[in-house]
Formats: sequence, C-alpha cells, structure tokens
Amino acid sequence: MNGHHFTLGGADLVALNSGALYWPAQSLLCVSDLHLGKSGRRGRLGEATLPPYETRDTLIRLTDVIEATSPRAVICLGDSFDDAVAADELAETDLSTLATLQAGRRWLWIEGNHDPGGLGPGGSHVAAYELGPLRFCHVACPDHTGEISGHYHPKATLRVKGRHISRPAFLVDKSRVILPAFGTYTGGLRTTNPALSQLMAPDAVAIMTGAVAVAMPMQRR
Amino acid sequence: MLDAVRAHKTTLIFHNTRAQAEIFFHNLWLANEDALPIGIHHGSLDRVQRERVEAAMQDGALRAVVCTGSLDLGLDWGDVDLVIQIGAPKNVKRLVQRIGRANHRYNAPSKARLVPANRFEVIECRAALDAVRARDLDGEPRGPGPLDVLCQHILITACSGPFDPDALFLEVIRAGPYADLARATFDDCLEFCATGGYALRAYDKWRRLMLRPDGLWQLRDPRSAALIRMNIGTIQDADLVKVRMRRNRGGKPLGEVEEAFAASLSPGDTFLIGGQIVRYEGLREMVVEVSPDAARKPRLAVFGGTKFATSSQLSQRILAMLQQESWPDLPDYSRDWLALQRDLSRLPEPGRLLIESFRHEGREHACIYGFAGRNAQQTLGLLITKRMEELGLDPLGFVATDYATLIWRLEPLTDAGPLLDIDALREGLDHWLTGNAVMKRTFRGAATIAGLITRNTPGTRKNGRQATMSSDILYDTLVKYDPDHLLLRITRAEAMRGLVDFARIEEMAARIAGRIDLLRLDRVSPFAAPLLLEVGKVPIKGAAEERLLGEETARLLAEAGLAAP
Repeated sequence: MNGHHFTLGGADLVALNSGALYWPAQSLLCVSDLHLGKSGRRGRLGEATLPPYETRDTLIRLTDVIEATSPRAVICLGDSFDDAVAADELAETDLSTLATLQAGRRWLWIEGNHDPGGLGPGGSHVAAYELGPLRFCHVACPDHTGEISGHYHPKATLRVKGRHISRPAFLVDKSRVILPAFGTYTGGLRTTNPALSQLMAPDAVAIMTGAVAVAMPMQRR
Repeated sequence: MLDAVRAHKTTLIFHNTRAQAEIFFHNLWLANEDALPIGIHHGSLDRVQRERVEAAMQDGALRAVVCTGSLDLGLDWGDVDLVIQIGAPKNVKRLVQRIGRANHRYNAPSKARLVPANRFEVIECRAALDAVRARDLDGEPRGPGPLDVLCQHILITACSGPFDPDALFLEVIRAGPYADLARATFDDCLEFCATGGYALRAYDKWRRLMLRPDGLWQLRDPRSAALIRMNIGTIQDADLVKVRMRRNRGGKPLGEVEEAFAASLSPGDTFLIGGQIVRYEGLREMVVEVSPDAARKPRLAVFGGTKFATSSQLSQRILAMLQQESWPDLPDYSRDWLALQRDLSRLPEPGRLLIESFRHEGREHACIYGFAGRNAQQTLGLLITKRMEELGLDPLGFVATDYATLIWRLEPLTDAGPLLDIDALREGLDHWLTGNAVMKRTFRGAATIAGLITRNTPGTRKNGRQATMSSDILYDTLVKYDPDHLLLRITRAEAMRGLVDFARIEEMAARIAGRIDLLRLDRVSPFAAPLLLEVGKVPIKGAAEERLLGEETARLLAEAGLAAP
C-alpha cells in the first residue's frame, strides 16, 4: 500500500493507491461508489447476467485496505449499493464480511443517488457528515470548501511515449477532493468532461490509482 | 497505376488494410490529372457512402475503385476487366479469389497485376504466383462451430417464442459446423443463456430464460427481447466510434474508426478517412468530430483493418525460394537484397531457426526469423519477452511481422536456446494467456456475441459517463472467481486458433527441432532493417511502465509549477 499526501482545509490526507482516502490524524478511512449488487440489479432488469462476483471482489479489496490502515472510522460516500433491492439481497457471506469490517469501529453510510434514504446493514445513515474542517457528502457542491465527495467516478488518462494509460483517479484542488469509484464494476468519467473541469480549479491535481499513486496536473481538454 | 486504369474499362485496386487503402486513394487522387472517376470502398466507411460507390460501379460510372476485403466476395461486376493487388497477397486462395473479380465469367480469363510494396513482398508475390500455377491452394481446416454464436442463436430463438430444447438441439446439429456438438456442450450454452452458468448460483431468481412446466424455455422478461435483438450479429471489428464533420461544417457522417485510435487523438491531429484529410476537433457524445484540413499530408493514418497472417504454405514456399543459388525471376533490387543478406548474415533455412543479434541506436536487438505468420510471430514475441522479464533480461519491447519477431533490450542476447524451448513456451502460454491483451480482446468478442456485453441499448442516456464498464473488468473477474466458466473456455479456444495461433509456433518448433543459429552482427542486417520501421510495436508493460509514468507525471507537475509529491 502506498499513497500521495496532500492537505485540504489544514487536514493532512493520503490518497491511497487502492482508491481509498485516509485521514491519519482522525484514523478515518473513506471510500466512494462501491455499487455493491450491480450485477444483480442488471439481471433483475432483464439485462445480461454479468459475473456475480463484483460484490465479493469489492469487499475483499475493502478488507485489504481496512486491514492495512486499521481505521477507527469508515465513511462510505454514497452509491454504496446499486439500489435498494441490491442492499436487501446481499448474500450471507457478504453480510458477514461487512459485519466483520464494521466490528469495533464507527461506520457511516452516506446517501447517494443510487441508495437514497439510507441503505445498508449496521453503521449509521446520514445525508452528509462534518468533521473538523471537512465535509463528507456524495455529490460535490461548487459553494462548499473542505469537501470530500464521490459520484463522478473520475478517471485520468495520460499519453506517454505513445502509450495510453487510463486509470481511476482522485481529483484534488484547494476546496475539494473527488474520490474515484471503489466498486469493481464501475466505469469512469474522463477529467476532460465539463462536469469535472467546471467543478475543479484550474490548478487541480489528478492522483492516479494503480500499483503506485501518482499525481499529475488534471487534464481539462 | 493511372495508365493501367486509363487502359481498362473498370479496375479494382485491392489493399490489405483500410489505412493502406486510404493513403493510396489519397495519393492516387492527387495524381489524377485527368479527373478519372475513382471511388473508395472499405468497411470503415459510412454505409451511405459505400452504397453510393457500389451503385456507381454497377452503372459503369466509375473507372476504378480502391478497396479492401470488403469487395472480396459477394458483388458480381461483369465490367471489371483489371484487378490490381497492392501489397503481398498473404494467402494464395485469397489472391485467386481477388483475381477472379476481373472478367467474372466462367469462360473468360481474368487479368490482374500484383504490386508488391517492398523488397520482401516481391518475393512473397512471386511465391504466390508459383503456388497458383502449381494449383497449390492453401486454406486452414475449418474448426468446429463457435459456441458464442450458438449462445446468441439460443437467445435469439427465445426472442421469437418459447422453444423445445431437444428440437433446437436436433436442428443445430444439422448444420455442418455443429454436427459433432455434444449435447452436454449444448446444455452448457443453454445454461449460460439462462443464468450465466456461474459457479456461484446468483441468478436462479432473476434468470434470463426460464423453463416452463410444459418443458419449453422462454424469456423471463419479454422486454429483454428488444435488447437481445438490438445486439444481433457476429462480425466483431473492435469497438468502433463514428466520425462526422462538425455540426457547423454540415455534420456529415464519414465513417468509423477504432475506439482505441480515437482515444489516441489530440485536438489538431490530422488523419485520412474516405480519401480526405480531416482534423480532429474533439469527442462529443462518443462521436469523433472533425473538420476538413487543407494539409497535403495527414499526420496519422492508422486505423482499422485486419492484419492477415501469411499462410503456412506460402511461408514454406518463400523459405524454399531463399535456398536458391540465384534468383533470375526476381527484380535486381530484391536479388541484391537477398545476396547482401547472405553475405552479411545468413538466409533463413527451412529446417533451422536464424536469430540475429546486433546493436542499433544504443539498444540491443534480437531478430528471430520464425516464418510463422504475423499472429504466431506476435505470440512468440509476447512469450519470449515474458520469459526474459522473468529471467531479469529486461526486454523493452518487440515488433512482429509475418516472417520475424524483433525484440529490443539493453543487454545483448547470448544464449537463445532456453528462450525458445517449446515446452517452456507451451507452459508459459497457459500462464501468460490469462493476463494478456490478446485474450481480453478475444473475450470481448466472445462475450459480445454470446450476449453478455451489450453494445447497443435502447435509449442510452448520454451523460458522458461510459455506459458500460470495460469488458476487461468482466474478464479479470471471471479469471479470478470462475476460471472454468464457459466464456473463458470459448475465449481460450478462439484465441488459440485465431490471434494467438500457437499451432504455427508448434509447427515451427517441430520444423527447427532445436537447430538454432544465433549470429552476432556488428550492424543491422538487410532483413532486419525493415522491421525497425514496422508499425505496431508492442511495449512491455512491466516495471518499465510504472517508471515511465513516474517520470512523466513529475515532469508535468514541474512544468505546471505544482509542487512535486
């Protein structure tokens, strides 16, 4: 595990290479857009029966990062479940994995557009959460500062020596952080999309996830 | 070329790739001072444009059509009286097929010209003509019917109404390619269509197909018929995105390019499509928007088109030709090139494997003359560089052609034997296959045909976010959690006979039986020189990529005046 250190509103934060955000001073770990149960929802809609392993895979990767950081609190920034039925139909094994992860620590489910009204077993459900200088919510609001959100699934692309590298990425400027999606079955939105380039300041940085977390200027066009 | 066109009623000018056809058409047009009516036809062009060319051709309004395999079959035009093949034919049967487009009547002789594009293709063309004369047609044996196609057939059958599985099975095995289909395999495919066929039984409740009490199968949700029908088809041509003129320039659709090519474009890049040079403006709702560009030379022209592998028979004929004492049938520049190779290095032989090692532009190169066809030489490059990586020999990259694989690295190659041990290669294959880009590409094709990935969805929201996650993620997930899944079995089988073509490597290993000649040269050899110019170099994504990424991002940060991490 490795990460890129930066400061937001005076708080020292680490963007981990796994796509999770760590706040060492508060022993707090934050992940976004788990989209648990996505394959099941697609199947219910009569679409293709995708390999039903993304929930297990997402939880295994979440377990890895929780074991590596042993946080006192975990915040899931919304869209943790693909919909309400997905939360209800979580398999026994996945439920017990979640219960193990939640044991002995504070667990916050923040509501997203896929899981409004608070879904998910254990923990507490809130629309947004504030701690010290920081505010945690699902969708970024241009007026806020010290804001940590998800929703957009940002991905950064880089052309280097004829090679095209594209990976999920954190976006960071002086006012906010947007987390990449942590879920296994999640597409990405390029940082060049107006939704992201209008939201982020001109000097924003993109931190690519992968084997090593690397920072680069956020590409805007 | 224009002289030949002028001297005939109608000429078809065949190319092996779409990019070649575009470049050629562009230059032909620039030289066309008499303004002869000439058209272009290939699979990447907009259908309206293609149909217009076909109609003009049928009316006898065109003097020539620059084309690709899209005109190999199907269309019968009696008026074609000359066929020109640009580049090596790769395959004797295809050459005969193409030549036969001229004077397409059973009792009239056809007329064709072969135009090799480089010294090596001269030799290949000569070998192909010899083969035609000897009536030695090549052709790979047809494999068993693909199972992804069967899955699609089952789903489509369900769309038209409830069906009896026994009757469907009996119907399917009446088709030649499926005559040997085992009932158990058919049932696996049915199960895949119904529930996905996963080891984890997650879809028993929300299955796609369900068994009714009367023994017939039907769609659980009749609404899914629309989605399935929208995704019918088995021709997989990589993911394509449409190209059109900007709205303020009329918004005219021009054709399609591969998504990977579109992703590599930056605003201002110029490329050829439909014979004109256009400038990339941007990607808008997954459509490449371009504007006309006045430049005479496009910066890029690398999209689409199949890369055929030279057939086994043709490769053997070429190797046999190289053994001749002299080559009176060849033009002097090809003759000189072969003689120079014989003097400075050695000519490849049928029963041996020639490897040249030399230093060029500060890098060490090893050139392996396997004559196994492009796909197999590509696989050989992947397998050998993987083995090198394991042995700490730090390969930097490789490129493959139909006759050789060129690998570059920092240290010279001193012992090639261990790298080419066929047992080790075979063992490496299984291991390597799973994480490989070729497998992922093959998987995407199989998964799309079998109905797991849908390319078209009704009323797709255009919110800029990718509608679907990448098929690579589905592949990785299956490999990790369900390695025996039907789709992975299909992918392996398809890759082995298609893009991986390991059979040709086995064939090569049997042919050389360990007889390897590793020559150390003090310079690039005549045969290796063209490989240095070859496009499609494959970088090795090892530790090197992370290092490159680190360097480049640090440079960008410094350039932007942002603090380095």
